[in-house]
Amino acid sequence: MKLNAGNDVIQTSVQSSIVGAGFVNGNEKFYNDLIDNLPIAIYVCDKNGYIQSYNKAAIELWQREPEIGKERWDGATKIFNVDGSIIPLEESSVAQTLKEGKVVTGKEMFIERPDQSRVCVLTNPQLLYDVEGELKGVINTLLDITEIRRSQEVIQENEEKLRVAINATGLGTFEINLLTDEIEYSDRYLEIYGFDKNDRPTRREVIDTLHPNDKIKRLDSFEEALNSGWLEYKARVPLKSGGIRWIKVKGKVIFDANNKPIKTLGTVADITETKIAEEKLAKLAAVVQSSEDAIIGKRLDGTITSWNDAAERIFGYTESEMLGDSIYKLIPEDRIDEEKNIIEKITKGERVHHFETKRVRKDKSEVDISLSVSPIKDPQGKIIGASKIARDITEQKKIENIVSENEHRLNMAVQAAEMGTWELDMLTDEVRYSKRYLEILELDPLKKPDHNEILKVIHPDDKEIRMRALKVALDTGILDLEMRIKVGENKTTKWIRSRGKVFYDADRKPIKMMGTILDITRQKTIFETLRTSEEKFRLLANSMPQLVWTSDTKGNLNYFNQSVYDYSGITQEQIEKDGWLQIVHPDDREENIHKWQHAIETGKDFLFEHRFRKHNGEYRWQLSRAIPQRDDEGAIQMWVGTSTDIHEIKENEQQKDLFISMASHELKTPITSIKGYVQILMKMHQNGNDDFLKTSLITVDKQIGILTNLIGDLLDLSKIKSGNLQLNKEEFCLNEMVNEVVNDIQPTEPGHTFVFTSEKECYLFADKGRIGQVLINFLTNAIKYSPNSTLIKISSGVVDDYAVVSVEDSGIGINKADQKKIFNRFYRVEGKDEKTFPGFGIGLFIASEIIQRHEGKIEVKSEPGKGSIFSFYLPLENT
Amino acid sequence: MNREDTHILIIDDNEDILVMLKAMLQFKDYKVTIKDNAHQIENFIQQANPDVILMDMLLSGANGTEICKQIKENPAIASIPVVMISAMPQAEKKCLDAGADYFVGKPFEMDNMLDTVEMAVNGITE
Repeated sequence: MKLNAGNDVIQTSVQSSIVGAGFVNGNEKFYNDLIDNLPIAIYVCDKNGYIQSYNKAAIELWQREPEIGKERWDGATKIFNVDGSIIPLEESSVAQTLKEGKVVTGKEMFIERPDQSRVCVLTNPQLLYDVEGELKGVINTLLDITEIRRSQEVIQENEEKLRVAINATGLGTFEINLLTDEIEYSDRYLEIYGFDKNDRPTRREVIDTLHPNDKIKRLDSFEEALNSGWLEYKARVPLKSGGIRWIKVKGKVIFDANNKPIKTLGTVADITETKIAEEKLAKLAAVVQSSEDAIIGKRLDGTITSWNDAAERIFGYTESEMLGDSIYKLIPEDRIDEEKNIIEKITKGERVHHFETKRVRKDKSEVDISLSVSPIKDPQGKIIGASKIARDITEQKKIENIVSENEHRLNMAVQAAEMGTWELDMLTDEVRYSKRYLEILELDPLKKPDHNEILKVIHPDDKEIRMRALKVALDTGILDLEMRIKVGENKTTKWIRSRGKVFYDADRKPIKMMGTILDITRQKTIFETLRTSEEKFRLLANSMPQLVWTSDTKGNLNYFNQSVYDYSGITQEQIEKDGWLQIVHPDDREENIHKWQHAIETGKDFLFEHRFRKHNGEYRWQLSRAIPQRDDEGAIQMWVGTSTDIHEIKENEQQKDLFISMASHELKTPITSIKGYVQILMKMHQNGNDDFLKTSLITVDKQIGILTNLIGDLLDLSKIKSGNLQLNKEEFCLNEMVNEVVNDIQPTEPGHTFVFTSEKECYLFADKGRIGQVLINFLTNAIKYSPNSTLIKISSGVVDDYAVVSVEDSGIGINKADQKKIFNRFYRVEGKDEKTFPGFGIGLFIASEIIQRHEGKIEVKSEPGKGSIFSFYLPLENT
Repeated sequence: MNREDTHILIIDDNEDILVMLKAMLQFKDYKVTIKDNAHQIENFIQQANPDVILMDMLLSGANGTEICKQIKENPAIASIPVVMISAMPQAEKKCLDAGADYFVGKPFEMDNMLDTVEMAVNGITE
């Protein structure tokens, strides 16, 4: 405006100068010089537009000198509008002014110079009149406004840039008139507050968009701003769409000369994302701090930039000790290269996952850690450092060591058990196996059989079993399977036991199975055989007419075959409840218990005749026999017993025994009579002269003695057979008994000499008569079988816990084969000696029975032709 | 006591034995009474009043051990020593259990029989 004002002055002065001097007086040259030297381009055209004159400034502006009187309208050959469009010269402001008689002033346009550069000018043509008022022409001034215009353009451009910049920052702008409370704002401002571009909210309406809790904060901020001049607060704007927008308002309060606030200028920013990011960061920081793992930030040169609590716990250094310090402080000397490799990887943008290594603590101890290292990038993506997560795996290592040790042991066990091991990847169906595994399956390791090959060996009948076991395994995690396989060229059937464990991923999806197989063919076969034989045994036992039973080592009967239940009519439960003794005849029970206990205690065979009650109440005689079953070491495992019904036999025997008993009685009666009369006769004739009579009587008496002995043996035999050989035990002196017997026998055997020697005096508790009978038997045998020698030696003594009596002769002796048989019932030596020594066998059998019933033993040592030694041993413990 | 005054009662159903025993005992000059059955035996003993009774265990129609028990249970005659003889197995125990004072098994030595009777006469226990 000032420019225009200035122009007016010049214009006016030029006008008046022209008017004053112009064409009237002779001062023409003065004015011409003046105009010519004015620093503004001036030119004059006649009323038809032909250029009449111009000054130096015009020449400078145009950069040319137009031909006077020939060129019209303007000194420039081309003129343009400010928008760049060409203006025909005859339409220039000068032309328009002349043609229309109306001054067109203040028009900006571009003129083109001969060098084609353009200059912006402001034209200001004025009509020229003479004194008579006749139009003479036009005078035009051209003001070069190129610089001004450029400045304006720069300002505009800058304004635009600022606008763009503000828009680019996303800031909304506002201006509040504090006097009127009016507010002006940008579109972005409205947008941030949730208004539409076309809305024109009042200040009050804007404030109402704020979160109620933040309104006071805003008020406080404003009050403070009126003092400080600076406004700043953060507030929430609830969105119509839900959610919250965080805004940050910053502004300046402008005061007037009286320090009275008149307006506030400011910006508002949407900081929601920043706020969220801040929260995230806060959370992240909390996570980092509370992490179990050490989280360490470091630059590429190893300088530590962050250090969390776990790092302090694991390594012993505090955050303040380590920030700015080098990561190499933690690295053992022999592992420095490790870090270099890590940095190298990080520099390449790679990550390091779960790298197990060792690091040094503050106290110089080493710690096992698992490292994960990731690059840290700046916003431009340049790698500027690394974050390092270190997990203390000392415990894990320990466990791993234990696991490894256990694995070793397991391997040993696996090898020892001749197990094959296998591993199945359930995702790829790949299978891995040990050498032994293939050996069991009899597959060729060179062919590297795959899973399908392996599955082919399964016995078709057992595929179902395997599938079921697998199904269970997937549920429970444990595979346990016994199945048959067909292996080798001959498709031999084998039994294997396959055991395994299923491994799952985090989603409990099975990924792997590992396990062992064991060849159990042998066990299976044995088991099968055992089962079969046991079944056979049971079948056999149950089908036997005999009563079969077993007992444990303590004598508790634990099995009875069916015959026991059939015979007795009682149930298993009844036997278990009241015992087996209930079926034994009450009269037999005491001895039964005694005999059984004795067998259990001594391990000797049990042999007993007793009566069992039948289901109909009848008692029948049974011969029970039980034999101990011993293991390889000779220890008794169990007893197996049978009871055989001998009732008929027993009755027959009893009748026979009664017969023998009666027969012996009936025989003895006449013998008694004969013997009596013979002895009476001998008494009557002992002092007589009839020697033949006397000798005859002695012979009769002697033969009666032999006959009596034979009858006695027969009777004893029948007693033994019927079990009626009862012992009447008493305590007696052994040597005394031997002497009595010897003294009794000596007078009747004048042909032999009996010599008794005793090492030791001892007392026995036994049936004196029966033991004497044994001795008599030994002595009579010695006499019988040593017809050609006269000396018979008798000795007694103690061997271990036994009293022993021996009778030694120098007779014919007994060969080895016969020695074993002479104690058998009715055993007779074959050959001519049979007749020579009648009755041989019965006596020794009876002697043997008597000694056995005393729990003693009887033995013979003999050499044919040299004689025999018969001995009996009786236990001293009975005394 | 004079043997001629000593009275022995022999009870046996076997006449041969009875005669033989009587002959044996007469060697020692005992006064001998014989009886071949057990009929009215207690009355008979009471009337005969022997010093010693010699009796077989097996009598036809009667059991010797039972008679022995009756004798020993009859206060009038219980004090008379009883010698029992038998050829039966286990007879000795049965006889002694029945109250017999002595036992001699059949067949027997004559000396043994005479010794036993003498012990019974003299009241000497074995």
